[in-house]
Amino acid sequence: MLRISFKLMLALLISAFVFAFGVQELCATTTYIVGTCKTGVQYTTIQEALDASPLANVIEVCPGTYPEQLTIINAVTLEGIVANNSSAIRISSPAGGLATNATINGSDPAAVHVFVKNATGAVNLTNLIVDSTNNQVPSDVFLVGVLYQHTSGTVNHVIAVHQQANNLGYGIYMEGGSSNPTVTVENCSVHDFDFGGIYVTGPLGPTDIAGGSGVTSDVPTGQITAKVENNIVASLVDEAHNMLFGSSTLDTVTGNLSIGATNAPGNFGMTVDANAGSVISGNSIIGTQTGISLQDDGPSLKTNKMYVLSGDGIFLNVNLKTSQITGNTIQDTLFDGIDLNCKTVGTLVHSNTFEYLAAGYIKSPTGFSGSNTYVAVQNDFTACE
Amino acid sequence: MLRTGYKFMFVPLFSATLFVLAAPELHATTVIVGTCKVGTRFSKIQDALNSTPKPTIVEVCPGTYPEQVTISGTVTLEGIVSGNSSVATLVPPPGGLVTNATLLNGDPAAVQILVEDVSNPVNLTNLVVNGSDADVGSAAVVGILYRNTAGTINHVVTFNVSGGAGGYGIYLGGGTQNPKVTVENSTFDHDETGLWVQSNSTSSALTAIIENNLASSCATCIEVASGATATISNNTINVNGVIGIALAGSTGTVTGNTIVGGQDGIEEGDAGFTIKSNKIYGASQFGINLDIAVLTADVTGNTLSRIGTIGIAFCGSSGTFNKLHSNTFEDMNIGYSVPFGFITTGSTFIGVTTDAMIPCG
Repeated sequence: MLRISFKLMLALLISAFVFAFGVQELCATTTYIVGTCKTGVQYTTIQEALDASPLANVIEVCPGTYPEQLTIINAVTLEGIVANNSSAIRISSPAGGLATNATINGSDPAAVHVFVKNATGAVNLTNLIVDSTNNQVPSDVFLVGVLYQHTSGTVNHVIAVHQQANNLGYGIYMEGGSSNPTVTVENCSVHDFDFGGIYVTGPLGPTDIAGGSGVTSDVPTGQITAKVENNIVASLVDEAHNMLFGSSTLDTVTGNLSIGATNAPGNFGMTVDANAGSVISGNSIIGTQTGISLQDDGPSLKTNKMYVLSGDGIFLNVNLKTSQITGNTIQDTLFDGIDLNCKTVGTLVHSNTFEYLAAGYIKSPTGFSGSNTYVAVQNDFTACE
Repeated sequence: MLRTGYKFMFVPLFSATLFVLAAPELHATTVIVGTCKVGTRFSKIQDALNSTPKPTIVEVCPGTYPEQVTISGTVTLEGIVSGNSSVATLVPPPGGLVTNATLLNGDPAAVQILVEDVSNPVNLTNLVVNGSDADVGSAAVVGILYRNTAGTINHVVTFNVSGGAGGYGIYLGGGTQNPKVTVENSTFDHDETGLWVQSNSTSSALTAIIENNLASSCATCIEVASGATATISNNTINVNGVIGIALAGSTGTVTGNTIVGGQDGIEEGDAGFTIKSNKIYGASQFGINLDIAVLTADVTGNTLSRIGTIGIAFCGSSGTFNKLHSNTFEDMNIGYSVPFGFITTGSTFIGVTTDAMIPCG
């Protein structure tokens, strides 16, 4: 009896091992190499590797310059790798420039350099430079460095540069949809764009904010869930929005550094029109015109720091019912700390610190008060007139 | 017996309570500068400081005070909010600044708030020192000078402190009392040097805690010279000049700072600082320049982005390579410049165009 049981157990054990290894084989990672820096199945262009059969789970890209306009429609991890003392994997514009290949903001035509489109699984981009120099985009077409449209995934350690196209250039643009994708943008560097740095928004674009097509329909909430952390965004021109969190988004935005242009400081550190429950916290904004513009009630602004601005630290464009504005520091600014813009704020705005400013709060609604810290502020607050 | 014991205990307890409650009343002397608040009033800060009995707290109403102030006793000097303003500003007197101190290097200096050899702490809060770019010939201009005195400088602004012979927003000098000075939540704007730390001792004769400050538009924003122990953390530095943080001849830690622009983010020469978890962006030459023979403390966990020439340069002893590791380089031509044999342990290179590392020379 004992021997029979032992044999039975052994058989089961072996079966389990065979099954386990078999499953592993079925789910094996298919990895392709772009370039020749590593052995394996090699391709010369990234798009060829993306289109190859069987579909790749992982595509490793050797250091080099790849003049391509990419479309990604399947789940994949596309990552630059370090080889021969270099880590520069530059996706540049093709010789003929970037073709118009997408629609953003509901109806705006766009030429997208890396287009992640309706993929059913997660698409992850890592360690890449998307350099849109010489994009040759027509004057009425938007330019986007990286566009995620209705797709989940992570953009990590990606550098998006030179998205310049007649003041219609975006670095990284994450657009949601009915599939409610979950996206993360982290540790990225975005600079030398001429309109938007990092955008996260619903499928109709930022409805209440400049840069959209002006659509003002009621957009269902929760059409994209985004985490935006530890990025550096530096603008190039006036009127740019370094970071924008548009309608129908739910964001955790923290640890980002938003920098204004030295010679063109008329831009926005962050423009926020996100859903209730979103928290914009622990970010630093230096040298822009406006630090954070709050366009809609819902998201809260907490413990952000704004320095050396040439305009308001925080500008309020909506009556507050749930948004909290607390614990922020606005320091060394030529103008005002928080422009309440005569909006209703109740007790939701308090415990902010103002140091070395012309004014702390301006256009404060009747009865506004709150425990705040004022240091070297010419006028702690002014009333709504 | 129990009842007697209870009463016996109650008497000293009551006395002690009375003493504790009365003590602050007996020892705190508060005077006012200006007319915004009732109390013993003075029109000048120096008159208030010199008054008898010696004030422990001097509250300064919003206004402009054309004075050079000397503090020789322990005191808290604080600007107060009144009405709708919180700006108490010291500016140079009508006749200009005069030389009233000597820096540790022997140079004469015209100081706007001079705190020297005070045996107990001196605290400054909520004050503005406007140097007005006053030039005092061969003397340096200093907004606030603490020499051989402990204390806290909190929520203070210095700006436009510069001069032909140098300008310092705040100058901390050590001495025989081995003072501990904290500078926090303050602003240095358009000062030639935002904050300077030094003693003349070969060992540490000054402990400086420098945290949560903003330095903007300075040639050198924070400099720690010889003979000090410094903790420099969570400051934001918008250089627009040459060096964000310069370190020489002292020890301590530099952690969690954000440095934007300028020529070099952090420069260390002949010092022993742990340099950790700083974010350095857009320096035109070096992110961190370790111009030092031997690394005695870790340089690790820093993120360097868009550095013009080299992310981290260290051409000292190969025996101390292990102190330099796990840094992140992003969007630049060259990560490390190091001697042969260096291994980029734990470091991350993103978009480093030319070389992750190059040999020195």
